[in-house]
Amino acid sequence: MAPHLAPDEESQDEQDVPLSEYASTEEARAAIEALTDSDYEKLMLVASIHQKQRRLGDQMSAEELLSEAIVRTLRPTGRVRRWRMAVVSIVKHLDRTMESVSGHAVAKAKEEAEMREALAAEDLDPQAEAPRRFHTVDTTQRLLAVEELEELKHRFAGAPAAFAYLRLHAGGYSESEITARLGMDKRMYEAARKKAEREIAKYAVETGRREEP
Amino acid sequence: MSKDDASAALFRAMRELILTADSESLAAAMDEAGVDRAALVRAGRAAAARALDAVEQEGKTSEAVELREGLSVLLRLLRRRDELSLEEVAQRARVDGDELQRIEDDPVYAPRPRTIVQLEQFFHLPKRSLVKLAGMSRERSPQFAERVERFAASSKAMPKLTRDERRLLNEFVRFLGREADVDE
Repeated sequence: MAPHLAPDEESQDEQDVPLSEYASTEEARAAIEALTDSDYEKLMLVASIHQKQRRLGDQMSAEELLSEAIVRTLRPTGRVRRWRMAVVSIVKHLDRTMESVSGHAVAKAKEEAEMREALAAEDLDPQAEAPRRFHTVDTTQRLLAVEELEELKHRFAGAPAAFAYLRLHAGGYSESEITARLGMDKRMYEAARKKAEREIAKYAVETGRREEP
Repeated sequence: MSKDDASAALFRAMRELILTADSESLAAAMDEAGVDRAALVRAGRAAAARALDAVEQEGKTSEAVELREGLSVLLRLLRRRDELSLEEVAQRARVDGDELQRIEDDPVYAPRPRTIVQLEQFFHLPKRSLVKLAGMSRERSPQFAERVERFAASSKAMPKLTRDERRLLNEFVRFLGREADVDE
């Protein structure tokens, strides 16, 4: 079956990819059916992290996010995200698809908020210009990101080495660069990594549920 | 790096750490953190099962609609071939006129089995041919849906059948006959 890419889901890079690199619906289905318990543990943790990062709240639970990512991977037409099976694992592909799905959910919520703001502004001031009306939504997004960063710092307050490890990892530093910068030996590095894993797992399951409105 | 970029980078690093973690090491970390791993697996498997089911339902619905487009075109062509109005077919085939109209106009509409069987008999069509076109039977050859789609796409709305349309109709009815032979 020839893979189909819906234009709205297709990045510029993907447009240059030969169709033969994409899994067919049947291949994707077989890969989904072969997912192990360990894969599901990882997928649910990353789904929860996406949910928390995007502040999906009552919009979408981690489980719903994963389900939607699988639907988009398997769908023969419509809003699809085809899996490049030769390039990334199915687990990694689902992570990226969840990133895309949650991004769209945020964009949609933002659009709706802007619309509400515009309508409210029209009620108050029919002469107001559009850019001024839309200012507060982006500001809110930035404030939420800052708030999230503070929450992460707080979460890792009892594990400074693990947080330092995570920040350097986020900055793209390699293992040797991290150990050199933090003055760690191999054993301390492993301990920091494991501590980070524990904190992230705890953080994810505490926040992956859909918040009741 | 701005604070929102820093936040995004941290989240990315967190996901990457989970995805690249050794399964045993991550399992131990989750156990130490008091995470209910069995609940995570149940939730993940439930999400996958729901997705698989949703995709299957979507597939069934879209395929059934495509087939019923073929049904609609076939009925219109047969009626024009026999120079019968919709009311005349409804009366002679003993089916509801409104339903016949709906079958011809709305491929999303799922017709009643009795109506389909009556029409099949009235137009002397191969047994179960309209049943398959109405999406009521899954017993069909792999090329059935594609053939029906091509047939539906070739039809034009004209008052009388052209020679090409008559040929197209005869060919398609012959195909339905061969398809009926597959069942037996």
